[in-house]
Amino acid sequence: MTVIAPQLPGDIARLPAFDAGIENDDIARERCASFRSVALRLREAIGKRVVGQQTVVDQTLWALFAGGHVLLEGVPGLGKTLLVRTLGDALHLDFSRIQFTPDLMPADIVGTQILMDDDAGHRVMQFRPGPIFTQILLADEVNRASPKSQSALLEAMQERSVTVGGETHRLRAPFLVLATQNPIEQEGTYPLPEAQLDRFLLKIAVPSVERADLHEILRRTTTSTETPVTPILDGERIVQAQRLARRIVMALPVQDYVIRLVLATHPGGEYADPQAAREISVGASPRAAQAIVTTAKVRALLDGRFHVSIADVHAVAASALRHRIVPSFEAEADGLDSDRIVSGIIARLQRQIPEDAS
Amino acid sequence: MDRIRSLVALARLRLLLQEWILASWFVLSIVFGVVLMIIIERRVTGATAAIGVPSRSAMWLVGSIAFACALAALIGWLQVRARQQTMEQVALELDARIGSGERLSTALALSVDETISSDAFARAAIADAMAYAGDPDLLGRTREAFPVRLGNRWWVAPALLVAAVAAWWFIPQRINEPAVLKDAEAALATERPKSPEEKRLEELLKTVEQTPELAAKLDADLETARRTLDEAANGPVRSPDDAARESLKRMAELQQRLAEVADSKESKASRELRDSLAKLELPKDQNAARDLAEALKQGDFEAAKKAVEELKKAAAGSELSKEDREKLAKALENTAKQLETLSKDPAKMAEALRSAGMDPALANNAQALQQAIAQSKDLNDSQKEALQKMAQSVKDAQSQLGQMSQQMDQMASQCKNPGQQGQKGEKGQQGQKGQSGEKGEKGDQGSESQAQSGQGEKSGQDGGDMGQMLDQAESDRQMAMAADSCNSQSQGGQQSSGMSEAEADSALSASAESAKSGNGGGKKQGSSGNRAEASGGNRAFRETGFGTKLQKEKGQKQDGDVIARQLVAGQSPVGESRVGLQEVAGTIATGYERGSDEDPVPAHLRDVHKRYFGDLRKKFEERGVEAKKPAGDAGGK
Repeated sequence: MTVIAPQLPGDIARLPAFDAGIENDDIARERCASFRSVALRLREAIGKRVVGQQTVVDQTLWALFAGGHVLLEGVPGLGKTLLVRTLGDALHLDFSRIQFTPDLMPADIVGTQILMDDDAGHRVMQFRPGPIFTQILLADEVNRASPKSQSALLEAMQERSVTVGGETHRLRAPFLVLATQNPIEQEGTYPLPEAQLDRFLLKIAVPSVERADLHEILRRTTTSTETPVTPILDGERIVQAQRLARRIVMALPVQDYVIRLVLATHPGGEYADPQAAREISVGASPRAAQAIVTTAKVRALLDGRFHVSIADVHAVAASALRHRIVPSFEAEADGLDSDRIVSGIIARLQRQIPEDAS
Repeated sequence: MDRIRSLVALARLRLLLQEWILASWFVLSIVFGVVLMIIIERRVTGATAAIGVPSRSAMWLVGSIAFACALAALIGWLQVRARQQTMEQVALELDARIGSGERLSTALALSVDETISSDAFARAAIADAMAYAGDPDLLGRTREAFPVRLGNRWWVAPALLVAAVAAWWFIPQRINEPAVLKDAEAALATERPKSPEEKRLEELLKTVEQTPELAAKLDADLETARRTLDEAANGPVRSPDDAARESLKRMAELQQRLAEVADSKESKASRELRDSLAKLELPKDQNAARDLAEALKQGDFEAAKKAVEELKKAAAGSELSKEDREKLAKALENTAKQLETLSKDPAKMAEALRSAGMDPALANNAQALQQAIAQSKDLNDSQKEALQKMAQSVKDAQSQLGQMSQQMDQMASQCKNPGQQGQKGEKGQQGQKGQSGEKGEKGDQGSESQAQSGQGEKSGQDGGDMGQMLDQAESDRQMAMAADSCNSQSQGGQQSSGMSEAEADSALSASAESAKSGNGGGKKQGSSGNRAEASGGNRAFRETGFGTKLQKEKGQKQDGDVIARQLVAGQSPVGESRVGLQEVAGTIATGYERGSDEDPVPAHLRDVHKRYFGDLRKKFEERGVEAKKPAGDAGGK
């Protein structure tokens, strides 16, 4: 486990507070514009190291500004860890990495109390924080640890606090868990339970890179040149950006669309998609709707809009829903994964508002 | 916001219009299809005629097209109303079609929510939307996004319409239209004028009914004829030809019965009586006796009866002088003598016997005459029967003449001696005795003569009442004349009718089936001949109603007896027939094949034919018998 200390930012201090004075129309527009330019710079900075994974980068940034955790899933060597490390470099935040292994214990994650001599020569129990006490946590190959160790993340991810020895320790905001897992090596792994999966705002599928991107990857990684990434945002600005994003408005028709989208994944429900009902055994929770809305708002903000569109919902739906629905046996037998099920639901879902929506 | 609302309203209008067009066009296609099917069905089977679909009516076609358009428009409108969308829904659809990222729908939704509109971001969103809506090109893009046009299969409705018009124009109407025919028949039944045959039957019925005696005799036949006319007018629908044919049948039956009545012994006797009375010579003095004689000579028994009443009054009264009474009595005695002479006159019978090649002297001896006729070898059965009937009628007439003579004598006596009543009773007894003797003679002749002898008996019992005798004579005369008249009327009508010979034959044969005897034609001929003579030759001689002569040809047997439709050579087989089962099976199989192939069995009997021979074949197969073709068919087909 390595704790990487963030470097001091150069021009971060000159950035305005994103959520200051936004009750005024003009200032709100100005803050949004300022945020968009910073986010764009951040995106470009990450892009200097991570090649060909722009969608993954975007989705990671959505989760960052939405205040949610990310589960990155992809075969080894696609740059998952690089992405997280680069993000850590681009943000003036504390960064930790935990390599999950079967023998990893919860205390190895959250920390433990140790017996120490105080200044008076008395022996006292003192809490020694684990690597979770950071702002960006890379939980590498999270499915390789035992469920007991995996559950150690639960409280931290949801409550953003850690309780050890009856003592609760708050985590500093922002707190972002970026977990990775390998979908093909299932032997000796412990698939994350549904409850824990639900804690992740988005589950981002890391795709294989294109030919041109691979050329660029080789050029950058097989030479002696290194691409430095300077910090662009600090934790405070990130939290401000998170508050700013939540101010983005969502009209009732769009909100209803999100609700119907989530309810469509509930087999046997009133709004269940008839075909999806056959393909899904367990539908998405209300937390999925929250995830979609918050993420869509970030996307809308990054897109320069003050309202959420259905296109935003579509863009975030797959990553927000794919780990929250459980495909049925029939779907798995047919070779249908969650992404195809979700896209099928979206394709069949009416855009228009039903009569009883109001 | 007005701009946004106007855009959404425009989109909504175009959306509704488009939906209305699509729905209406779809319904129009269906209705045109139905119209096409109705036209084709109407022309091919005609079943829709029952629901009032005319065969060729441009008005109906135009009306159908107009109805289809109206129905399509109405259903389209109902469809649009049922699927009418709210402004928010339309705004969402508009956003989707023009790719505005839900700007317009969000602005519309936020504008009505006061809590949200107070938010800076909401205001910013609305302002963005308004700026977006302010794009001058957006109106055109909205129109493009909501096109108002026909669907991809717009050509179906016009094609069906063209097909319907073409079908209406070109497909010929089949003749066989059950429903149309039914209507036509119904109209015909209500409006059809009566055929000449029906009119003639009606007239004949009226004529017959004018004579109660004749109507009473023909009561059953008249009832049948009336029912036929009633059914033709009010009953099940018939074609004019059927009605005419039925009327002809009934008329033919009535003719048959009228001929029988005209040929009855009462009618013949009445004719003989009148023929004989026509020979009376009238007294010279003009008195009641002359009136009576004149009435009798003319065969007017009604007038004769009145004359008798006058005579009775005159004889009983005191107005006449003795001289007049003597004159009257003398005239009556003279007439009585003439009647007595006529009652013994064998001339007519002798003439008939002579014509038949028999001895005229036989006319003087009734018993010998009967035997001679019965034993004659030169006469056929028909001729014998005619002669016997003639002899009987002559005898009956002579009997009546004799009675009249006696009554005249009595009246003459009364005229001479007004107070002498006892003679009447004696004469009456004498008359009764005489009649009894006659009755004894007639006893051998069978029941036919019973009625006549009864007449004589009756007059005898009444003490020789001339009035009753004349009443009976008048009744017989009227019946005979009415039968003759009606028969003549019906036959004359048939001859003048426009029916084809085949139809007339058909009707006659139908009536002949209902007739009792097979020699009706011969009888009719004979009776007609007699009537012609009786009426002094005024009526033309007519063999049969339609000039058809029923006659039996004598066939010649050749080489064997005719035992079936086939001529079997040699001796007729008698007793048990033993034929090999195989041969029978072969014959049946051959017959089955011929019935099916060469000589087609009628369609409605084919199933029966197949089942019967199929069962037979199974039975043969159960017994293991193979069909063996008969020898005659060995080299056959």
